[in-house]
Amino acid sequence: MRNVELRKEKTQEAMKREGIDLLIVYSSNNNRISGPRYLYYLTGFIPLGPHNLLFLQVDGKSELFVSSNADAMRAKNEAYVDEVKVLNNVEDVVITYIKQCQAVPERLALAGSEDMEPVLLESLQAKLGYRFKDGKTLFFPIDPSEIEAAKVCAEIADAVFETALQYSRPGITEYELVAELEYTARIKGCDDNFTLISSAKHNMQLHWATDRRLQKGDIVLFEITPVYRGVATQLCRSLVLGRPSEILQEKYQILQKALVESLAIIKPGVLASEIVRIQNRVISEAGYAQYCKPPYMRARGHGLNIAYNPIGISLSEDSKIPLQEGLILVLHPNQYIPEVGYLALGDTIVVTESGYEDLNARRFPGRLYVKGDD
Amino acid sequence: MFDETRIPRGLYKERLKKVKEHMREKRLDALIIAGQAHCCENLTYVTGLLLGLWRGPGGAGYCLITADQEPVLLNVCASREIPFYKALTWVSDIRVSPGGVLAVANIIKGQPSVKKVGLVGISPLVNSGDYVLLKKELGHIEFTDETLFFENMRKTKDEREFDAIRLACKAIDVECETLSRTIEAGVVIRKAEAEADRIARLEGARDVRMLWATQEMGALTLSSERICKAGDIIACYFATEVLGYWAEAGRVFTIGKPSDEYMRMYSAGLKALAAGENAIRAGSLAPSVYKRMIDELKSSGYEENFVAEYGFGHGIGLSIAEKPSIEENANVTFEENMAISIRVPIQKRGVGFVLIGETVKVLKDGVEKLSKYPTEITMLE
Repeated sequence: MRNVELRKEKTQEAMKREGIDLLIVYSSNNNRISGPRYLYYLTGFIPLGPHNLLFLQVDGKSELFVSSNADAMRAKNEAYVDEVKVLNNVEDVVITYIKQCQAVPERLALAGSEDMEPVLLESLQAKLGYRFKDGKTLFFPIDPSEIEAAKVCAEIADAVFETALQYSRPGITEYELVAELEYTARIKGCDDNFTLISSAKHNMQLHWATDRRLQKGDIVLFEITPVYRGVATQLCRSLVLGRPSEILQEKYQILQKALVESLAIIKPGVLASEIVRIQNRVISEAGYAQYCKPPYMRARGHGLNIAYNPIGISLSEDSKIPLQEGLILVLHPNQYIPEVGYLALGDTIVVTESGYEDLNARRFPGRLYVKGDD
Repeated sequence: MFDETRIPRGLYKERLKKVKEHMREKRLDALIIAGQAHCCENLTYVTGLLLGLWRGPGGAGYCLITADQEPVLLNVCASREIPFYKALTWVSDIRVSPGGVLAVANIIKGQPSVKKVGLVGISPLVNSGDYVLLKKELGHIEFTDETLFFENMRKTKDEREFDAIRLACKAIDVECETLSRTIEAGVVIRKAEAEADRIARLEGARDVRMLWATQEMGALTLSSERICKAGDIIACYFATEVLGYWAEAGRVFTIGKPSDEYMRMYSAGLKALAAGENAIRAGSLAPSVYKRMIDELKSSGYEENFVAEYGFGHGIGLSIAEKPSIEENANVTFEENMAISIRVPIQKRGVGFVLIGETVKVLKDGVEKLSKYPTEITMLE
């Protein structure tokens, strides 16, 4: 709760700095790992109901409106707010609160508009007669507790991969394997976890676990994404059950080169798009330029901060966003290579004052893993 | 190859036939079914496809049905994934086009005879912003909301669907058995949950959800680092999904014998559950089932402690909550072959939380319980 208290104080300071008297935070119950999750950031509460509103005044007074009495009961125990109420209608609550506070449009901001149904947002703004100021800048600078949580989360991801190495064997089904991975993630203390996997001699993509049994010679891909104290990290690795072919080893090195070269440029001020440009350049120089775009590749990574998350879900050549200290992102040059199939490699990093820290490089560095090659 | 051992192609084609009959009655030239991850039950019902994590480039994936052509799946995956997705659906025409819902709009624009289009799955359409785009691109089209027709179609289940629901119930049963072995003083609730979650997944559950309430809590919540201790009363809500179908249950585990007051409250809960299950049959009305249950709580003195927000239950299937709801004012009749999640939640400050619930199949003259784990309190040392 102390972390949440500090986050709230920092946000109030930002409100004073930017001349905002009232911050309205909207949250559905989506709780996407790519965020942003402003409501959780400021209250420590994960809502289960569909519509939730937090009103934070610059003097620190905070009121939380949730969708049901059940969530209200929970929030009274779990949320760091002054008051909890149940809302019937989002528009009515917002309009009434603004009127009661006598907040003026120039000193009013909304965070979480991207989570709102577009029709709801348009209707609300139409009734008020103005558009809200965007509140996302109020969540910078990034709170150090997010970085600490990311480090723990990355350790959980490492532990899950260790379980993957332990349990992967011919004969086990993908879903049995994922059951063990989920178990490890929960035992290690994650709030949530999702795992994508794929096993085949030639994978086309990562997907959710099926009832396919792993076979000798399979390339098994893992995308492990635990969440700890609201922060997600992602680890992407590839494992061969048996002796990897020379061509597979050769092609995997393309991904390794792409990751290493893109990591090398990371420091505050560098545009996030440069990371992607370098990865795409390395893979293109190896002869796979046509595979560096959809449908073969979606994104080269994701922003993972809870609240201030300018990169968002998709790290691409359009992400012309300067990196800032404290940003947490996963870089994954996962790539479809026609000769060997889809391959996975990805690490979560934190941008530091002068460079970056790779949270996954220590225990299971980015290379092709092999089991049972004797 | 689409796996026909689960639900054969023929059954899907029968569903499609009903959809097309409805389209003829409503003079619809086309029908667009929208789906997103975790909100794709209508699309799944017709195509067999479960949208996992992929929502399509525009935010939602689509099935387009026209009067005289085979259905088309649009933007449910990336094109390199099509071979994998073809194993998950009987629909052979899977297309990927840039622009999300605009691809659907372009197909419709290319058919000038299309004047009236039904939409199914308004929630994913609206949430993704696609509804606004669709209306803008197809300003000349008359749209109608056909979601209710699909919800009504899905109300009753065939035996293949009940097979999947039974598997989901079995996954919950093994979770309960696991908890009965793992909960004890000193165990962290998160650890107990991890064990149960693992076992459910080994039984084939793809999605496993649990909520917990210990005696000091007024509501169900996510698991935590709370350490179990002697005297604990732990109410647990379970939901599992197997092969796309959901089941729910509620059970209570105690470490030691609870207070006499709690035992009376629990007994009232059991009686209310039995009253509800005895009242449900083909032809019974949801309000009358509600009345039987609430009257039972009233006669036991616990009407005021009923947690109305959790309710007495609802239909269940491809969605975790479907029609009908067991509510006072619900204008709904139970039908044979509905799947219902029925439960009794009671909470009293200083005493504890009761949650007893299970998934049942509605029969002509009663219900068939699909869970095996006993509804009595699991009292542990």
